[in-house]
Amino acid sequence: MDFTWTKKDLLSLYDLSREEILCILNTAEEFKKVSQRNLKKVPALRGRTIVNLFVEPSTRTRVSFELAEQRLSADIINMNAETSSFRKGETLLDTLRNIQALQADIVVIRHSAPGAPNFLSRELNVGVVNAGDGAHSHPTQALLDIFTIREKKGRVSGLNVAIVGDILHSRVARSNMWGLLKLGANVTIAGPATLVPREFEGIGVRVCRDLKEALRDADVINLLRIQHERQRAGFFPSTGEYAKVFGINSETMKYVKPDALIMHPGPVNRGVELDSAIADGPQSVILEQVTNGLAVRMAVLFLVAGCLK
Amino acid sequence: MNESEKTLLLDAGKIAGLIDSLADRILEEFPPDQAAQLALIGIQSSGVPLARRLVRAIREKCGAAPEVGTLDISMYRDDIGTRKSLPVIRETEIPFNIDGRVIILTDGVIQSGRSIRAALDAITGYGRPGKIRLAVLIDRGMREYPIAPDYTGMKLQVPGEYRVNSEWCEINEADAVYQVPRTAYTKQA
Amino acid sequence: MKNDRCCILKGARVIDPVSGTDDVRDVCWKNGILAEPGSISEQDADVLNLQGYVVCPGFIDMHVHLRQPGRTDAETIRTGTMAAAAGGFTSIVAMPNTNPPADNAGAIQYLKDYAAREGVVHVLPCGALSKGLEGKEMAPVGSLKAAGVAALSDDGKCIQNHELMRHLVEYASQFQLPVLDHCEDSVLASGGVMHEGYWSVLLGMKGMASAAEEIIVARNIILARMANWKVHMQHLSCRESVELVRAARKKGIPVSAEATPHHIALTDVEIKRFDTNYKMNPPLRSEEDRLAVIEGLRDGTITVIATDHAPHTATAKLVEFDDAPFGIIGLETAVPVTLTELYHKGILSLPELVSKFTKGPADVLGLPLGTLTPGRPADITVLDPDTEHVIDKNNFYSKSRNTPFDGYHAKGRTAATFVDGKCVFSILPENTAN
Repeated sequence: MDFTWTKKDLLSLYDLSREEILCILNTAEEFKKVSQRNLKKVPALRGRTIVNLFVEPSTRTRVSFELAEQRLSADIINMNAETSSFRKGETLLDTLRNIQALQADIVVIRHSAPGAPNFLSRELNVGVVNAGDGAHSHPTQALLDIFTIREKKGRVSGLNVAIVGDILHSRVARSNMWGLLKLGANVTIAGPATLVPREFEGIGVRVCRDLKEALRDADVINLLRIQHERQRAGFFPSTGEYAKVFGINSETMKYVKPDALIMHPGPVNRGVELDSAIADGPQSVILEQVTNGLAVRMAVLFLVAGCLK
Repeated sequence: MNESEKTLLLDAGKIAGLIDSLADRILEEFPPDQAAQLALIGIQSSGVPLARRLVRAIREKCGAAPEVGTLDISMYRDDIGTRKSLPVIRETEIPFNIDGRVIILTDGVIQSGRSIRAALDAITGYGRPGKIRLAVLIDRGMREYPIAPDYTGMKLQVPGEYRVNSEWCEINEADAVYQVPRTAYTKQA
Repeated sequence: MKNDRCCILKGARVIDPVSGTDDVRDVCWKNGILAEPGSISEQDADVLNLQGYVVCPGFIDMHVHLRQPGRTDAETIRTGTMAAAAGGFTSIVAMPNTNPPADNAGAIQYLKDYAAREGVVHVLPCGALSKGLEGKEMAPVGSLKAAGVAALSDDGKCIQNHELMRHLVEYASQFQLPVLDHCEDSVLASGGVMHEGYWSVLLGMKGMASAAEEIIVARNIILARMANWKVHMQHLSCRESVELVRAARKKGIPVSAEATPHHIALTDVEIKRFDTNYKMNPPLRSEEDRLAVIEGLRDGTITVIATDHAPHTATAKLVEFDDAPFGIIGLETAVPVTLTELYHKGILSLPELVSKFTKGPADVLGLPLGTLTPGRPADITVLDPDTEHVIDKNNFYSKSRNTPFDGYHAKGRTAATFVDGKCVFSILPENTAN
């Protein structure tokens, strides 16, 4: 029996079933083919209006969504924190109600507050696609990571996936954990003790204090960007020490399986969490992730649009 | 859908005969020397088995083996969001260059012509064919768009309150054409 | 009712934790003052038959934000005291974090004047500990006392300067004013929007560590011991805090603590829906913490239930979770929620529960309230302890609706409230009056 998508929003992978995740991945495979043609555009969302509301700065996710929307033939309104009326003291909800009054169909939202997309989906009739909300959730990033893993490894179930870095503040890590666990992967997280909370053991993730142990049996290594402001907030002493203790370099690569995938959601701090030679090396799939992101976002927008009445 | 509401219109033997005559008609227009250059593209999902059967029949008749592909039209439909449920996107697989080629689109049943409209749109996403023809197993009438098949297996007069479905042993249990009351679908939804 | 002058309540179960009363007898009053049972003849009085009901001393809520002056769009003295009456409270302690704050005698006089004119229940002013609630300089404690404050608090904020706090506890003791503290280390809790724990980690939200409360509870215990004066821990929420208070009370240190109905009924799992009506400070904590608070109530470590009634407009709350203000209203849900969660679940007996609303707060405040002793004002709360109902926020008298208990299935409620012998709230059926 074919699975039929029924949700008007994509808020987090926590909310999705295994079947729903697979539905997005399978749909994305067909959209990836579209991107490989000469004519890369389909009329699927012709006449639909999508609002990209980026309350928090973003370059790659915004560009990826915009291109996905253009390739689906949607009409696009771009709003960001600088140009929107938030500066004039309008609430997020009022801004969105105005957008809804323009008969927009879907809002793609990036926001610094966890749960902001959930809040909007409750209050509005438009479809809501989460493009990252604080440290809570970044479902399309995790879907493109999982899509890339499945494409490269042929499966997700049973794989050992290590996520390394600032787990505490990472929406990418959280969404990956939910998605990977639902598809039957074994997830290990590693990094500085201040940034890798033991609480994740409660959902079935292995918390590893020793980086080498986390890397040794990994089929996939997903590295997270380490942010300098965490140093200032006292989570670790310096990026230099971070690179030495938790960075992936030619030394640590000795412990990594030769066919393990090296992934990174970008942008990479070269020489901190990941050495250039490895970021650009044969095991890296970082640019494929970007390519697949487009297909995944086209699939998500297509599925969500199909459930708007 | 309630299986008991289905009424058989054509069985496997009758369908095999229709495919055979469709292959003959195609070969009339495109003799064996041209048939090898044909490409049959089945519209997902019931057009796909039809395309493969027609390729087999053509090969058996004249030795020429046209290429075969599949086309999903979900991204090209004009009713996204107005249907009761979202169509499932199936595989589009066109492993050859279609520029300048003669393409024969295949579909199990033609009714409104809207799917074919979407298919024409979809196919041009892959290139610029020289000619496009349309082959269908069943034409049940009720056209809404000015589209007519070039090769028709059979025309059927079926009351409007019934849908006509072609089933194929590759997808379903066996080759068959059924009529099903439309109410059988709304009840399910 | 014929008049306000004489009234007899008959047939009810009467509970008075101060005298230890728990039996079926009459309660009567004349001219707003409680009288000996039998001293008033039925011919001269309104008589209410209250079989099946429970008559208690008027409930006291030690922790209410009335928002006037400053945010009268969220609550006023009028609507706040009406909500108190509907909730069964006859006295409420008004926190000083209004705008401007109640850190001077004029502000206290304003509150008293307004409350006398528009208030439906007794309003007991609480003065600020520090000027402007800024935690830098002492507020004029002596003047506040003279103006009539019942206690001192910087609620909503917590004085981080331990030396200032030490001096305040000492100085307050001279004026016999209890110090009520919102226990929070502001650096440890900084930026937090919910309890730091399993759910904050899963949801990626900034957490407020339990340590932020525990450290200040420990500090306050030390300062209370040094000054040998009352420090009351407001809205206790963590397991470790309860243990600290328990140990301190065992040693005879004059500390006390309150718990809110929401910390009794709810935990941080609720945050996963990102509903800002579950955002308050201290935050909803883990199940372990919730059970520890309940145990503290059961074993007497926590002697007070207070609501931390914190009204906010719908507009203020209808925002992203991070941006929403802390606080929920509680006056009209406290009785049904605690009857359901503590009494009907067998944790507290009815007299024990009533004590948390009467004797408990009266002892902390050192006021002769919360008793049915003849000669005292006839402040009475009548409970209907067993009726099942669903809480509907649209029925509230409060100006605000920010409650997590809308739709809560409760067993038991307030049936009537009398202040100085005057009925200020009643849902008693018509036929209870003879």
